[in-house]
Amino acid sequence: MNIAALIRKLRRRRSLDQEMEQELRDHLELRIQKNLETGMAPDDARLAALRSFGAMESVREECREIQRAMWIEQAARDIQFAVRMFWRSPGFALVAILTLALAIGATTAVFTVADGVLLKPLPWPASHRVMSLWEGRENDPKSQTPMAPAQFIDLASSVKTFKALAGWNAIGINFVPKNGAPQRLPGAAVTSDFFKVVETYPILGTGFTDENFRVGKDSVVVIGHSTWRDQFAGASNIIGQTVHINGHAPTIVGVMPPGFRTPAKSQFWTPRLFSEQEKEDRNYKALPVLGRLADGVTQAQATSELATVYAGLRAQYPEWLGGWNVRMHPALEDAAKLARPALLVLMAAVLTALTMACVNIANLLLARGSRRMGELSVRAALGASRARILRQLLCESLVLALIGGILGVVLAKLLLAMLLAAAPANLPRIDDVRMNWRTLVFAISICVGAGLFFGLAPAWRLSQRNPARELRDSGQRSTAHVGLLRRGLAAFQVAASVVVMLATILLIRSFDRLLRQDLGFNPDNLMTARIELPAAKYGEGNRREIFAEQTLRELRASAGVETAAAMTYLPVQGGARFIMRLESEPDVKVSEAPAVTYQGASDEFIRTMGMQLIAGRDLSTKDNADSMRVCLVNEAFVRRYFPAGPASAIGKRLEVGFSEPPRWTEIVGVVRDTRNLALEAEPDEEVFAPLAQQDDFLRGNPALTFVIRTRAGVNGADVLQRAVWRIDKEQPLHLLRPMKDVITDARAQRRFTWIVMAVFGAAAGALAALGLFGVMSADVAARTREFGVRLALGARPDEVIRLALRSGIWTLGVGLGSGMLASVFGARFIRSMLYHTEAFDSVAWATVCGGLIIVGLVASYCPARRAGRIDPIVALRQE
Amino acid sequence: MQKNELLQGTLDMLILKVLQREPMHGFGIAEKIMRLSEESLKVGEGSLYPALYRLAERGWIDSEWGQSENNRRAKYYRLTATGKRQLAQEAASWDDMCSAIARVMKLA
Repeated sequence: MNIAALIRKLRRRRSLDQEMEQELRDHLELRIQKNLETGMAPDDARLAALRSFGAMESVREECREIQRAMWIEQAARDIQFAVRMFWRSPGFALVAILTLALAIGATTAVFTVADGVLLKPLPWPASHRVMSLWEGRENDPKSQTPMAPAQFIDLASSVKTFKALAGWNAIGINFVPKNGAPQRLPGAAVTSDFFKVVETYPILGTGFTDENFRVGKDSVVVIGHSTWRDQFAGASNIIGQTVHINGHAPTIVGVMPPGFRTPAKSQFWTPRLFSEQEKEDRNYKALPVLGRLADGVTQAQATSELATVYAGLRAQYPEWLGGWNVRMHPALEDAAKLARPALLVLMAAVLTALTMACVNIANLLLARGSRRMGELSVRAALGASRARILRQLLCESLVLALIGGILGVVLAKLLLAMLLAAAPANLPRIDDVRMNWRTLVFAISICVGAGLFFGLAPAWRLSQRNPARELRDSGQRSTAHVGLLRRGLAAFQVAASVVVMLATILLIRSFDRLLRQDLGFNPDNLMTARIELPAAKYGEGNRREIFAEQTLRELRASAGVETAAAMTYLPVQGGARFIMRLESEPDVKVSEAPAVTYQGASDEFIRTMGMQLIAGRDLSTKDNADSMRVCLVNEAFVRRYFPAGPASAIGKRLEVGFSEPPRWTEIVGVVRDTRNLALEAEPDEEVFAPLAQQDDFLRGNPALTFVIRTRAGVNGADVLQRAVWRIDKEQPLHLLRPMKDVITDARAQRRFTWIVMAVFGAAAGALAALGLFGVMSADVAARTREFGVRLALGARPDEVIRLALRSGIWTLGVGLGSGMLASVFGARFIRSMLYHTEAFDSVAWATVCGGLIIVGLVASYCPARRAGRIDPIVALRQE
Repeated sequence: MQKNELLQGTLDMLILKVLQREPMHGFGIAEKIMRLSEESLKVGEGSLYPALYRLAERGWIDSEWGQSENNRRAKYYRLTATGKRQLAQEAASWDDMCSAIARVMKLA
């Protein structure tokens, strides 16, 4: 029955019923007429007719039953039959179901992570309308920096394509509860329209008013739901109370709804006011900006309006903004930018594994199907159409797929828990990852897809046979086709494993290089702690330096401490970048000035970190606010600006951040490079200035990292904590951890990627080996008669083995060749994830090919050996 | 032989064969079979119509309303192309089986 007839039938259901009744009545009339013609009396005629008709209703019912889409009942029967078949051959069913459950489970688990990180909309209403805005250099499309507050203010007041624009800065909150230890919690300072942009408003209280964004009226705070619950016991009179944060006591004016933690997991929101300096300094690019598109506005319209307004600003301030432009992305894209390539590679790997599992099962089904030819032929002889048999076989595959799928989803939950436990903590949005309707839909689709994929080919093949002929002979002719199909599938599996295993080994080598790189400092026995000093207490004058000095004195006096120092940032965490000019080129324009990483450091920081001084001198306590301005630079800086060598840099002067008149700083020493920014990029050019001489623009948020090198076995954490609290007991330590942990965290994402890939690589290899083994076994079984004849005619067993081996080697060769070809094309996708490793790394390729050849030969040899042991008499009798 | 019990598949084959010559309505098919078999094969309506609907499901015959001999509306069935093929197949298998059975009866 073709589709058109089916549709016609379904549509005309009711009228068909009427037609049937009409037809039967007509028949009855004709019968009565016939009876009358043969001379029966009218009543008898009618009675006789009705009798021969049987119960008209039951005939009608039977016809109706047939008319109903037969396939629904057939489907039920097929499912029953399928389950019975699997019950009878549990081995096959078990292998197939377990393979599927593993493959579907793994795929679903990885998809759930990818969904949570990449696909799920951000937790705001209509979050696809929220954009993040940046500034970037025009000649480098990839460059993007946060916006300068001055530009933000101008844009916010001019653009019409946005409903609201808001800037924010993540701030650490030192929270001192009424009774309890000081805690460190994430928070954000946000501009007035922030809540309008995310369209989420406090559930208690009024939130910020415009008044709160004036100087002196900004001592207010909005708190997060879980803080309200945990720290204030959900008290209903929370509004109007004060909290003790960062040395201030602002009033609570709002509580956010549960689950709202934007941005950056914040629990506290305070007004972001701009200082006079920020309003004028168009180069202080430190404000991330979010904006909500106005209703009905497209992204393109918004982008062009932004560009126009910015161009206007550029015309007004060419010396600041020349060469810069504004950039806009959907906020969702930015949220997951770093994780995207890794996750996509993982998805590709896991889908490959799924495909290979399906191929294995298809092969199994083919083999099993050949044994069922007898049964299928009888079906055909009894009147089953080809479509019917096809439907039945597909039904079996789908049943297999669904059972495997259900198990797989259960397994996925388990695998997901394992994945999340192993994942790097800084994977964006990892907290939001959980299974939802999208993952379920995905699981069902791949289930059905897999079922069709591995079921279709065998079903097609098997339903094609001519039943009558099958009943008579053993159908040798079609074996060749099936064999080719099987070998093709196995070759595909080998190719897929080449690709996956190659990717894995490249990632492993890349990670290994990462591990072995020279950090430029010595992380042993190094304990670190970050302290965010509240500006209220420490922002003015040299309070920060006094705190640092006092704490260092305490630390150096503590037992077990060899050296101690303070810096603004740890080497591997990256630091703030500022524009710089050399005394030899004082007239460089602000918009074209190069940037350097600018650090503050105490004396002895080189010795404490285990860094190396290669020229000049270290900073000392004599370098203070009153002495000459000095600084140290690193090798990268020297390489870029003083190619003649480190010695040539000593004595030269530079300025970080432009002032009029320039405040030149003399270079007094050069240190070896350390690795920055998650250990991967080339070292930045760095300038180290004494804490006391650091400029004002760093004081808005005074923060320090203390590092101490202890003797082995000393509890550095304790020492640090006690020392700090002796100076200021309200000061929580943030991120108190050994340097080694900092480094491990920086590598976490890469480690996670290669571990997961390795699992899939191993699985892929195993599946390919299984596939080859299966193909070879089936081949030998099919050619038993041929080998028997050869052996009977005098061939030596090893000659027969070699013959059998040939098909395995052919399959292996084709698979390897196409796999390598595919890898050549795929190399570019993985290049971005490799560190100092070529995509065409010869060791990796040699390992993969060599490994697969060995595995393939072994997998082929075992069944081939069986060929040599065939008893010719048994083989010939098999017919 | 009195009333032969026709295997479902055989009845299908007979219906297809009858329709090979010309389209016919249900009553006509039953009558023709009875006539050609010299009253040996009486096809009851209880088996005829289910068979017709089954054949229609499979796409071997098609139905259409038309005018019957005494100017009444009647549903006519005709053979489709697939049906023609199916008929040829079944006829061939039937011949094979008959000659096989005949051989055994003769030689055994």
